[in-house]
Amino acid sequence: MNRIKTQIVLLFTLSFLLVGCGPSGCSNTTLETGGAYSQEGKKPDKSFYAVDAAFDIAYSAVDTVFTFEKNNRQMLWELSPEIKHTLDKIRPQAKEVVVAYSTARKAYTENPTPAGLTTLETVLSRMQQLATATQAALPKAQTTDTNLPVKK
Amino acid sequence: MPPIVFILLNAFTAAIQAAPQIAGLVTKTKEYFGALVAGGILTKEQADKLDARVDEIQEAALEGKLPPSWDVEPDPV
Repeated sequence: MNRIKTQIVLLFTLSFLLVGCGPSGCSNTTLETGGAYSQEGKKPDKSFYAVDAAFDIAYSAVDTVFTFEKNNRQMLWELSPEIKHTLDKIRPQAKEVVVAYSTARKAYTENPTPAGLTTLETVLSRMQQLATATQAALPKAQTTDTNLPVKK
Repeated sequence: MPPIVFILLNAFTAAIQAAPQIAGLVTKTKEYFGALVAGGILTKEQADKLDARVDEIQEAALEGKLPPSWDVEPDPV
C-alpha cells in the first residue's frame, strides 16, 4: 500500500509540473537549426516544438494513469470502484483527442500554417484537460495510513 | 535552472526506485523542463527525439493501436 501511495504522490506532484509550461509559457529558449522542427532555409518552428513537447507530456501523464490503474486495478477497485468508472469515461475521450491531435499534426507537417498550429493548440488544450482529469480520478494522496483501508 | 526545480526533479528521480511505472513520465518532464526552464538552447538531438516519440504516438493513434490500458475493460468481480 505504501508503494501505491508513493506513486500517487508522485503522480500528483508531476501534474503540477505538467500545467506549468504550455506552448506560450516558455519563450526564452532557442531551438537549434537542422533538427526535426526545422525546414531547410527557414527558422526552426519553435511553436510547433513547444506544442509537441507539451502534448508528449500530457499524453504520457494520461498513459501513466491508465497504465497505473490497469496494473493495480484490483487494489484500486477495493479502494473505490469510482476510480475505474471515472477513468473509463475518460478513456474513449482520450483516444479521440489523441487521434484528433495526430490528424492535425499530420496536416500541419504537410502544410504548416498558423491555422494549423491553432488547431494543434486547441487539441493540446483538450489533452491537458484530460491529463488533469485523470490525475483527479486517483485517490488523494495521504500522509498517513488512516484514510486508506487496511488490506486484510 | 532554478534550484527548486533541481530539488524537485532530483527528488522524483530518487523516488523512481519506489515507483518504476512513472519513470518514463519523470524522464520526459525532466528533459522538457531541463531545456525550457533553463532558457537555453534546445538541441537538434532533443528535437529529433521528441519528434520520434510523437511520431510513434501519431502512428499508433492513426492505426488504432493505442496501448491496451486505454481500452475500457469489464469491471473486476
